Formats: sequence, C-alpha cells, structure tokens
Amino acid sequence: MITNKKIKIDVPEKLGLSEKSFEQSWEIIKHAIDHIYGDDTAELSFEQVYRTVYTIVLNRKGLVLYNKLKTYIIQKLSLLRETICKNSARDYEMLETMVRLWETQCNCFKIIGDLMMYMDKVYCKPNRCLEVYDMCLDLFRVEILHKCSSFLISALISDIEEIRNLGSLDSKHTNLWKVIIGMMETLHGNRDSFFLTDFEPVLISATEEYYDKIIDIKLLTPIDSLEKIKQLKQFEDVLDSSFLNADSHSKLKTVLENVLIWGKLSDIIEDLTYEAMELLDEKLLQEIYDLSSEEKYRFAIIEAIKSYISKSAIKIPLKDGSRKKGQNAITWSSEVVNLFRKQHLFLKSINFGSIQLNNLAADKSIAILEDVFSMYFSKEESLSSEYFSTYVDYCMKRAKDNDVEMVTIKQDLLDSTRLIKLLSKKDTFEKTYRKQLSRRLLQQRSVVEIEKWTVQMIKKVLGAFFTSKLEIMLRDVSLSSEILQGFKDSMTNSIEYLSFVPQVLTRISWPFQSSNPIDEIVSLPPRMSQVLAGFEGYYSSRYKERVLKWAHHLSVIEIGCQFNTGYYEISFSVYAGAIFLLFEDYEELTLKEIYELTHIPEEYVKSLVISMSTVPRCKILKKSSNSGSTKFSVNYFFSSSNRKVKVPVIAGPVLSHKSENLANHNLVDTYENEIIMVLSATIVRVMKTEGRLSHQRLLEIVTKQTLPLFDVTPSIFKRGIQLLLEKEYIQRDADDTSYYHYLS
Amino acid sequence: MSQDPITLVSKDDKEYEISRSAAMVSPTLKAMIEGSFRESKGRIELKQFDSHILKKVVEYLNYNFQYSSINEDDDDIPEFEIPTDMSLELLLAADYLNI
Repeated sequence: MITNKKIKIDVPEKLGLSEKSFEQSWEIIKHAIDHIYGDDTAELSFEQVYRTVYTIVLNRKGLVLYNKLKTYIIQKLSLLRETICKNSARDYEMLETMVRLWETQCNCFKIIGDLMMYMDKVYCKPNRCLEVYDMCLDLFRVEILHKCSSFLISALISDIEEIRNLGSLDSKHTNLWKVIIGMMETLHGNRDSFFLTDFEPVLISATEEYYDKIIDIKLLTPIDSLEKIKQLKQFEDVLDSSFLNADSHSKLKTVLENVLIWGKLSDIIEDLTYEAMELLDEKLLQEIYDLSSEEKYRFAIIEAIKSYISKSAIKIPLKDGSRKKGQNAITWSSEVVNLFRKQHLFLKSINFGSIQLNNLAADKSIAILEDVFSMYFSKEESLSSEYFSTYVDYCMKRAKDNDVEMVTIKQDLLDSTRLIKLLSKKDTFEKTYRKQLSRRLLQQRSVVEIEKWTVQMIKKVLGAFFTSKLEIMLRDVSLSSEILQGFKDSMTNSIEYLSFVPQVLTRISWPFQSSNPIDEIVSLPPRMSQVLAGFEGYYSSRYKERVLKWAHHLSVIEIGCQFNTGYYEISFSVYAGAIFLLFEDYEELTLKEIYELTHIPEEYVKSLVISMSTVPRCKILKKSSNSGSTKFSVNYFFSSSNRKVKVPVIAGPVLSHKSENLANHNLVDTYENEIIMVLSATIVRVMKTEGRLSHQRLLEIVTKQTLPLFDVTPSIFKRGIQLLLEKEYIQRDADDTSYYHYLS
Repeated sequence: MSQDPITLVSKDDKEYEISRSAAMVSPTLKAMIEGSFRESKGRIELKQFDSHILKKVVEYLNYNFQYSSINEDDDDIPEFEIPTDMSLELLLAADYLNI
C-alpha cells in the first residue's frame, strides 16, 4: 500500500454503544422473551432487541447475558413442566400435551435464537459454548425430558401397546409418536440422542415382552400359529415403519424374529415343515422359509426338510432276503427313485435364497436331496448298491425299441444315475453292475444303445475311471458283431441252419473267473465244433497275436425241435445243448454214455440231465429205468404254452457245493486283488510326481484319490506298498524308514 | 408472506427501498422479516446508521444478491467499490447485519 498519501477514515461518532445500563438492557430482553412466550410479538421491535443484545455483547457482557438467559429459560421451563407432570391424564392426552409443548418451545427457542444471533456469532462461537438455540434445547432436555422421562416413556409405550391390541393403525397416534420420537432424536446429551440412550432399549424390551405374552403356541395348531405369527409380524412391521427410523425398525424386526420365530415358531417349525411337505404345498413351505432371513432359522427348516425326506425314505420297505430278491430290489429302488423325483420336483419350486450349505451343488434342492439320500444309502450300505444295480438291470430289460416307453425308461435311468452317485458302496454297485451288464450283453437282453447311454450317464456322475471297464465291455460287444460280419463274409460255404453269434471279450474287463476247465475237454457235436474251428481260424488270421479261448459256460444255445405236440425253440446252456443234440443220433443213452460222448464230467451231466427230465416246464427228456440202468430218451410228448422254452441251469450238486465255497472265497479274493491293483497304480502315480513321501502323507493322498471307489484300509494299503516294494517300483528311505522313494 | 419491497430507515429518517430477497442476504434482516415482530410489516429502522452508509449497504445487498447466484470464476462480476473513508463505518454495519 502506498503510505505517503494520507487517507482519511471517518470514525463513527458513537460505535453503536448505548449508555443504557446492563439492567435496563436485560429488562428489554426479558420483556421480549415474555412476549415471545405469550406469542405476542407483533408490537415488539426486533431491531431494538437485537441492538440491545448487540450493545451488551460489544460491551463484553456476553457471559453475563448468556447465563442470565439460561436461568430465565430454566425458570420458564420448570413452570411449564409442572403443567405436564401434574397432569395425570390418559396416556394419549399426555402425549398430546407433550407434543404441543415441544412444538411451541421449539418455536420460542428459534425466535430467541434469532434475537441473539449476534451473541451466537461474537460470544458463543469464540467461547465454545452452545449457540442460544441449542442451549435452549439442551435446557429443554434437562428440564423437561429428563424430569418427565418416566412418565413420557411409559405413556408412549402403553399407547403403542394399545394400538397393537386394537390391531389397526391410527395415523393420529402414529404421527404423535413420530413427533415425540423426533424430539427424542433431536435432543442429545454428550454422545447419543435421548432416543438411543433412554427410549429405544425400553421400547425393544417392551416389544419383546409384549409379543412374548401375546401368543401361546401350544393352544393353536401349527398352521394357525403360523398364520397368527405372520399377521402379528406384518402388523408390527407396518406399525414400526410408520413412526420409527429405519435403524430402529430393523432392530425391532430382529427382536420380533427372535421372539416370534425363535421363541415361538421354532418349537413347531419341524411340524410345520412336515405339514408343508406332506401337503406338497410349496407356497406354504416358501412362506415358512421366508419368515426369517436368519441363517440359523433357515438351517432349521432345511434340517426339517431333510429329516422329513429321510423319514419317508426309511418308510420304504427294504427287504433283505434271498427270496424274491430281484422283486424286492425293483420295488425298493423304484420307490426310492420316485421319492427322489417327487421331492426334487417339489423342492425345485422353493427359493432357498443365498444360504451356504455343506454341499456345494448349485441347485439347493439337489444339494438337500443329495445329503438326505447319501445318508440314507450309507445306512443301508451295500444292499442299496446291489438293489440299484438290479433296478437298472430291470429297466434295461424292459427297454425295447419302443419310443413311448423309452422316454420314461430313460428318465428312470437318469434319475437312478443321480442316486447312484450318492451310494456309499459304489464299488459294490460297480461289481454288481458289471455282472448284470455282462449277463445282459451276452444274452442280448437289452438294447445296446441304451446301455451305452446309461454308461455315459454314470460316467458323468462318477467319472471315467469308474466306467472304464464297463465301456470296454460295451466296446467288446460292438466289436464282436463287426468280427462276426467279417467272419460271415469270409465264409464261402455258409452254414445256413446254424446261426452263430460269437462274442469276443477282453478278459480282464469282464467279471468272470478264468475259463471253465470243462471247456478244454468238452467235445461238441461236429456241426458246432466245425463252426467254432472256422471262426478260430478267421480270428487268428485277423488278430495274430491274440489268443482266443472259448467260454462255453457263458454261452447259450438255441435249438428248434419238432415234438409231437408242436414246434418249440429251446434255449440251453451249451453243455445241455450238446447233450440234447446227442439224441439226434441215439435213441437212448445212459449217463455214462453221455459222459463218454461229450467228456462233460459225469456229475455235471447228471445234473444237466435231471434239469431236462424233471423240471416240469421243460421236461424234454424222459427217464426210463430198465433192468437197473437208467436211460434217457427224448420226451416227444413234451408240451408247453410258450413256443420258447428255457432250460434252467441247475448247478450240479457235487460240483456246485465244492465250487460255491471256493467261489465265495475267490470272490472276496478277486475283489481285494482288484482293489490292490488300483491302489498300487494310484501309489505309483502319486510317487512318480512327488518323488519322496512319508508313509502317512502318502496314505492321505491315496485315500483321497481313491475315495470315490473304495475306502483304503491300512492293511490293504500295506499290502499294496509291499507289492510295490517287492517289484521295486518304490524303495524305503535308508535313514528314515517311514519315507518312500520312487524308483524310476 | 407478501412480496413487497422492504424499507430501511436511516438515522436522518431517509428511507431506502430494497427488494425482499435482496434484504434476505443479511441473516439479521432475514430474521426480522420472517419473524412475527413489528419489522415483519416491511419497515425496518436502522437508526444508528447514517444515510450514506445505509445507501451503500443497500447497494451492497443488491450487488451481492445479483451476483451470488453466478459462478465465482466468472469474469463478469464487477468489483464492489468501497470508498476508503467509509470503510470503518461500513465494517460496523456489516458486523451488525451479519453480512
């Protein structure tokens, strides 16, 4: 700034300071306040009062004025307080008075605050004390609210309860509550508003108590209680939203859920869920489910759903007995499938929201069902696996190339595969399935296309490892028919009257024991052996390095035969067929003669002949005892209602007894051997990648990897390890014997 | 509330008219106008201020009202000129009127 030029500044004559004493000035202010309280300010000069305050503050009397004002307001308020607290009127009227008081006081405070604006600016802010308006509100809190709080709160709560009892909203009441709660929220002490510190806790506990008392679940049926609770909850929700802020509203909601749903409904939640499930009422179930978003609650419902389904599953009779086993299996499995299907259809329509279940399936209904059924199956263990396989067998045999039925059968199979995934003893399933599949394939009892499709489905749920053998079996069958075609084409002198269907099977994939010793020695009728030899020749010319072995005991022979009563097609096991064909050349034969002609062991011949001569359905041979020796001949008077006759294979008494024990033992053995093979393959795989592992760690990894197939027992694991040590795939660590090395 | 202009009265009884909205720029005047006091009728006596001061005050209120809504970065806002000799008195008036 340029200073050498003198600037003249006018000095105001009197800096607005008046000579009036403080007392005089206060009188003016007091007078004004009185008028404000009397709502009579029309003649009052704002400017005058304002100027007075201005002067006082300028004269550094702000503190005095502030305190003076405070005392005066307190005086005013305590006078007013009397009118409220004295008033023993009804709750609603009390609330009304309170609201009126609050509203007028706010107005007065506002006007006083305006008058004191200059003091706010010049005195209050620099001295860090409440501005006049806030100071007045604080006084109101201390003088009125705190001193009347018990009256006010009890009046408010009892008024709220009255409305709850009436069960209908009254905007007059709710608006009143809103104002009062607004007041409580405005006024706050050091930290939180009066509403938060004093009223809300009371309101919450009162609400809790109220709803705890209002309904006695024991007197109502589950459905009625649900209705009632829903009604109460809805009403309270609307009521709360009409006068509370969102925060408290949600707090009350939680309380309500606790009281009504946990306190009351949880006792009957199981019954309710059962009822909904029983009626297949998805709306009801959804309603129950949506009642609370509490995870605990939802889990309770899901548990109830599970227990309901597993109860219905247990109700399905599962008969274990050798008699009618197939029938039992079919009824049981189809009922289980039906239950699964029904519940899936039902639960699919329920929206379970976002709840974290143990089972991570995307579809919650599937997750629930999977849990239930796998638990159920684990109780039944291998029986369920066996039965399921039998069920699939049954479906397969039913399936013909008929489109209409095919769709339902496919659906049956699809649902079955879903359940198969849950079986606890999948290895048993696989074993049984393989056995039955082989039977179906060899006897051509099913449609190969569907077999393939089903195996694909199983592969999808259980993995390729599980179905590899099944796939090889199917491939063998397809391949066989190709080979047959090639064979037929190569045959120049075709044998028309003998239709021959060879099945070339990969030995390890099929669930059979090594070939029957009889097959090596049996001599078949020349016509048959001629064909076989031809095929052998063809096959070995095509696949030089492969060995073909006949497994007659797996084969079936079908012979058309003219009896006196008509023409019948009779299917035999190969041995029985060979015996029967002998009678083309011989009228009568003794057992011994048959043995000599066929080389089938005599005991076995006996049982075969007995089955052909005694079983009523297929009594195609007749027995005649002549001078001590028993002879057999064709029973030309054989008759049957069906054109096709099947000769049952009765295992010979002596042979079977011996072999049964043997076979049983063998079965366990082979099964264990199979496990060990898979196990050692897994161990080698793991070791190859890891190089060096401790026994414990290896066991863990291998157990995890083979879990879908079987449980690894320590003894089997040890046997697997032993095998690999012997074959020098792995080696024990020289220093620490609990470690293994992979030997490349 | 009427939309009549407000009359400000100075020490020497000179009257200045100002639009209601411009007067509202001063919180003090605003409280007077909006309250239920005598001033709410539209006549406010500010007897402590000389007429030339009050005139300048009115000028400022109008100036402030006119440009307050415009973006501050705008170059179009002219400087409000305060004669140096009036500065102290104007300062007092501004303090009083809270502007």
